[in-house]
Amino acid sequence: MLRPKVKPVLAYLVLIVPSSLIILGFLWLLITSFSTRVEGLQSLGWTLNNWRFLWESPFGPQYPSIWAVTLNTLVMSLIMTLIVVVVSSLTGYALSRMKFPGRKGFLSLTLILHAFPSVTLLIPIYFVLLQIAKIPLIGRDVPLLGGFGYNTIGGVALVMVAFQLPFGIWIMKGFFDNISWDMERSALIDGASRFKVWWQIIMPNIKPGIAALSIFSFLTAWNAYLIPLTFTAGRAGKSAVLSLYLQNFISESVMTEWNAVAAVGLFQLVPVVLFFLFTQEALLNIYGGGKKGGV
Amino acid sequence: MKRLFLLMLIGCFVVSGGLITLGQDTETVTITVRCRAKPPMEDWRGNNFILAAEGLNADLEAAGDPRRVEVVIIQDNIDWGPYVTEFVLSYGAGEEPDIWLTGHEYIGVQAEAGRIIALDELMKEFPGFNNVIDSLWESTSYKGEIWGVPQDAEARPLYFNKALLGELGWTANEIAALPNNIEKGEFTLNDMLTVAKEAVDEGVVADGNGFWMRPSNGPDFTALYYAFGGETIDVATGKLVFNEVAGLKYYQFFYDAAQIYGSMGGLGLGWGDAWHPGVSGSKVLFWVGGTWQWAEWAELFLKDLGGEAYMWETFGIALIPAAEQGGQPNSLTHPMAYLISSQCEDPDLALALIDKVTDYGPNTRHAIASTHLGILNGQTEYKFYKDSRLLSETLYMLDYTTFLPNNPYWGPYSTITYEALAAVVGDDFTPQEAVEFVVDGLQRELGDDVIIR
Repeated sequence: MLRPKVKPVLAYLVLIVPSSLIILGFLWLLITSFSTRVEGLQSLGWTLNNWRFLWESPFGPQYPSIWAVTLNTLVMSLIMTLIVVVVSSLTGYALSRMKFPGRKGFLSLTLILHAFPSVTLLIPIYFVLLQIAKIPLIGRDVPLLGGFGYNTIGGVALVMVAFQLPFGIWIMKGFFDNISWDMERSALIDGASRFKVWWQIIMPNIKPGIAALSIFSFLTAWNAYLIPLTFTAGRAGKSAVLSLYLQNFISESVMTEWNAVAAVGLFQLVPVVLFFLFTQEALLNIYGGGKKGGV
Repeated sequence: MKRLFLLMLIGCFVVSGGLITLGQDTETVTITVRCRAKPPMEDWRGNNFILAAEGLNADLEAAGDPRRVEVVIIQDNIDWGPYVTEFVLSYGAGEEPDIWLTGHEYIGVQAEAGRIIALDELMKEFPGFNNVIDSLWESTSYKGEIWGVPQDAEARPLYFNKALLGELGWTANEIAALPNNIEKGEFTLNDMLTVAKEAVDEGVVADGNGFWMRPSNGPDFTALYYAFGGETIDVATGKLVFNEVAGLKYYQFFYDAAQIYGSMGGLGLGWGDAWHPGVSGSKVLFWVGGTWQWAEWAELFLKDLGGEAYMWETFGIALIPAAEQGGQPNSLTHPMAYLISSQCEDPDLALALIDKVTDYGPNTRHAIASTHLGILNGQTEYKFYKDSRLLSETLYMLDYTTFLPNNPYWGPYSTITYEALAAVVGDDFTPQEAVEFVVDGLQRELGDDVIIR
């Protein structure tokens, strides 16, 4: 029998050892980004030069500024997150609460779609984007998004939505399943419409689920590489996003400036950390909403 | 008073109407230029067009042409695979660049697919193109027509480390005479391997570091295949060719290099983390590289040691030696070329821009910054060009140069022949097995589109 004081110490030890490895990694990243060279965690000279991409393009004036690229990435991530959360919530609710023909088949199909490696769908999606580009008003020349066709931020976001939706629908269905029918039934008896029940009764109870899905969707879009690479023209083009911009620093044929890579990597990480900080309360409260065991 | 006011009003209308009409008389044409360039050395590939646009707009204005050009440059160092895919996909979406810079070997594929235009007719109105060295047009021709304008050229020489040769006991005179001996065919590829082996045996370099080629598939290997008498294209039919006898000698050379002469240890290494540091860090005695790498080593790897000054003391440059005594040494040029999309709405303006950058000033800027060779007749006499020692000392290599063939099936041909080479270097194939592998693979993949001799 361990003494009461030893238990928490052991618990902390178990937590600290694996965490320290991750923290060391981030520490190295931080030190490297401000150093000319490093040996382990020791800087051999401090510099701000690796961060100069913030105020000037490291690849000459013809390259897009990091801020334009960040705006592209942010718009793409927010659009994707918004669509995924809204569509998943509505679909998850319908699948959780309503019985209709093909419900199980639809659920299975979404799971199968999620299992498809995205690379196998790139060419068919390309042709879909070509058709979308021909649709008046939304195909081309939409402010900020560029549109929803090939080589537009909206187009890339749309493709990302398609890949993320199966995951989102299943997650949200799970959260709706955990909400008691009693609450919903009471509201319906009181005369609320189905939409009102969904919006005013159910949605506030699955905030942790919305937060979780938002974070996963945002992170997926923020770090996406293959889809933006395939469906936009040029890592320095009008629709470039951060993951592509970072690749400009890494080349197979010339020496990679890892210090600059570390700085851009950290820069890419900052919004993600901020996003996590603002949503972590909802995330940690993941089973706090609704009543379990409803019919 | 009223009359005066009326006259002033009419005058204002006339003047503003005239101004509006003048404003409407010019039409802005956006020309997108897409380049693959390693920053900062190769930035002039795209940036030259910014200056060119100013000149072209002045020309258009003087000629009374209402069009004005606005240039959009997209330039990065993306890998070749995604770079070509991007052009193909964006062409399908109508989003492709008007001017696309690429390796000349892609001309066959893109011409067959109808994505680029032949330039012969348009070029007649731009006599400046007559300044381009004649042999370079060969690299951008396909089925009797010209499809691209050469942007740069380079030599792929044999580099040698003077300091390491000195450690082997070579005198300064012997080292200095090496390029000349190679040019005369007196120092052959096998002589080179013998020296490489000696360096390994004496511990001057590590085993595997006697002689290196590039670490992955690429045009350099074809230069050695040519050295052994290999052919890649049948002039009469335009079909690809593989010579079994030359192929056997070629694979035997690499088999011997790796298994007997302590060489080819660089195959499979990463470019930036191992290959460049290896050759620039004096760990390798002989290696085949590109002249453009000279600028990369000076700028990115050896700046702290003195850059070019250190390199001239430490490294020597020569042609790739002949395969046999008295034979012809060679080099290989892989010119980049500006191509014009078949969907470009103003190809004459696109070509006018290319004409502007295909001139002594712009091309020399790029040549100096990236240590690529000039492409224009008499460029060695151009003041700023001849100031570059490397460019001046290597231009003679264009007299010995060879090219990759412009054929749509070059991709699979190159892959199959390289896979066999990697296998002989790795001791997985004998030279004979490598030849059989290549013949089987080419016939399977290309059928009637390849000739085996």
